[in-house]
Amino acid sequence: MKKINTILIPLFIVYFIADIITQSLFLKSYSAVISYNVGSNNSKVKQIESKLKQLGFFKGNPDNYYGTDTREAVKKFQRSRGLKIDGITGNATLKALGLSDNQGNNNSSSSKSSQKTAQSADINLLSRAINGEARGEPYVGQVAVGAVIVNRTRDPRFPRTIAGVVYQPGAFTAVSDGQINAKLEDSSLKAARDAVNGWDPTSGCVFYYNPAKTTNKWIWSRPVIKIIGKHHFCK
Amino acid sequence: MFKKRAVLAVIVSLIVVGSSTFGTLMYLDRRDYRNYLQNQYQKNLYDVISNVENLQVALSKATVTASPRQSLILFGEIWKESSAAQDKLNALPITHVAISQTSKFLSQVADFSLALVRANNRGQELTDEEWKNVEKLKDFSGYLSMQLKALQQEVSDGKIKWGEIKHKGRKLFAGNIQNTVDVKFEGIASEMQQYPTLIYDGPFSENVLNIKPRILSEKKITLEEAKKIAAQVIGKEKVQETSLYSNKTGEKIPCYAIAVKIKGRKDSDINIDISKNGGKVIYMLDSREVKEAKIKMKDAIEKGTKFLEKLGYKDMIPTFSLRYDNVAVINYVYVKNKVVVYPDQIKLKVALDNGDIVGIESQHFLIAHYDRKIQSPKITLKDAKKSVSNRLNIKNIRLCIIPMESLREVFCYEFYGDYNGEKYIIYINAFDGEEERILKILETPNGELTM
Repeated sequence: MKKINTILIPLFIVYFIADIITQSLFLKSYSAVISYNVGSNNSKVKQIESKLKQLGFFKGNPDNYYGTDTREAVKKFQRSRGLKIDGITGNATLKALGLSDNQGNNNSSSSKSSQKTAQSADINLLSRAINGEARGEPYVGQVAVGAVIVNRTRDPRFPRTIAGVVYQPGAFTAVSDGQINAKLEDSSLKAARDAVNGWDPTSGCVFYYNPAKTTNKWIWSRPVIKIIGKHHFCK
Repeated sequence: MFKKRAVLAVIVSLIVVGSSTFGTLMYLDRRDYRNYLQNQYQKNLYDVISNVENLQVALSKATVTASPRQSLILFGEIWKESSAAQDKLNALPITHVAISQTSKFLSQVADFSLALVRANNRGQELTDEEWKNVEKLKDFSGYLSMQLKALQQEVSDGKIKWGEIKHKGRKLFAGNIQNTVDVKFEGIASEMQQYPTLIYDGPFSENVLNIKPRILSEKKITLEEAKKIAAQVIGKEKVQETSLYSNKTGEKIPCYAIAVKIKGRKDSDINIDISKNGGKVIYMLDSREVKEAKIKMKDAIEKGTKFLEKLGYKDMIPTFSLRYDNVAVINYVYVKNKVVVYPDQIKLKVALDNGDIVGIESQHFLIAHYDRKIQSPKITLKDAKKSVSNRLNIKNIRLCIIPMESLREVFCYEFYGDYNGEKYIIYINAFDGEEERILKILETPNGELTM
């Protein structure tokens, strides 16, 4: 006991110090911001203006100069997309315009992670739930778990939103035991998109269980509609 | 010797003091969390009670009001209170079985009142049947309110405790299972089951919950035939082996759930469900990794259209496309006599590396599609245009059939246009000129509307 403590306590101290250091390091690291504002003069401005014109926000002829008319058009665009309205074309606005650079100084890994965060909140949460509940299941099994959550939002007996369904107390083991915060796998995100887009391998089920792990009598009494991987799906 | 023992004693006492302090702190911490959680549950329960009380009051006021304007406000209030009650109820730590009936009741009351608001808005009077239902719902909400108050009393007296969730494992040893919130709610549920069947224009209406797919009227096929169809859809030359991946199959549309092994591929099979009636694809999913995109969106859309023709779906037009990574998701809808039939919808996923179809979703089509009689509009385009805001810069007009939330289908003029750089679609009823729906196109960098 004593030995363990004498080892553990310094370990804890080291761990906390390391934690504080890494946290402060992360706070300091930020990505370089590219932005275009009134007075900017280069070929990217022309791209921005032509894109804005195509979308119906910019009236003039696209050129390389970022004038006040460009600023007003950008403001209108930002208002319509729910971005910060400042008339400056920064990273977020470029992205919304579909003009963000890939050849710039961003390396591939950072652009990949930004793609992941650019999801709508619902898809993001759904993919986390799938990740926690059905990692290691066949792909259709993952889509099926997503479909069950989506089906619940359309069932009067359940909450109406994805967040309401996922976080209903006791509804999903992965939420109760924190598995929902596990590292997100690519297939979970793909499965979440498919489920939201209407793919439903369960044909309308609102429950599933793993027969090897469930002792709930009620759920066993439900007629099974489909078996995918380890999960039994039912209504 | 003595010194050594003293040092040891100091160390040991330090450990004892340290770990017991640690333990106490942990205990206090845990108590804080538990209290916090209990308070949250308690707050939700109080909220549910006050929502249900207000609901009951509004329902009883609605039964005696004669003014349409007043009832508009009252039904709006009913909608708000019942939605909020349903939301809060589902945030309580009670098993689904125990609250599902109450939750359904609140959902349907919310929906029903929203449908009444809409009907009222159109100048329609409530029917006698609807008034009777309002009366019954009032009684049920009264009962619910009473039961909830009794429950609240017992909770605050300490007779019932939250936390079945946490103590699930210990339930076996718990002497009085009778006194749990779950059991109380199960008691309420059996009473709530008897509320009237509500049929109205909303997503949770009974006629939506019990819809029968149209495809079920078609002829049955055998497993062998289904396997052949699956191979044909995927491409015979690619198929190595077909098998069933689930011997239990859907009840809404009975099907053969087929897994297809692809030649030269190890990890991922293609899953495809073929309906027993009519032998149609319900869904197909291929989870293979899609490499770098070489195909343009326009060509992908064309490939999809051709693929649908091969499956026997003619007259399908693309309406919306999205691009995720290297896959295109494209919506197709059926067109008859130049009328766009939105309920008959099929989605395809096209891999942009080689143009293969990697996903089919046609459940909606199979449920909704039948040979409709296309009527001609009763009001002219000119009159319909009058119902559209003149701020909208109209770019395209066509006739269409749209599904309402109750799955009732409405024949409409579709006006597509923009205002202030934002795109909108407005649907005007082609029989009475009523504005049925306004859609705003949310543009994302990877989505595109095709008109």
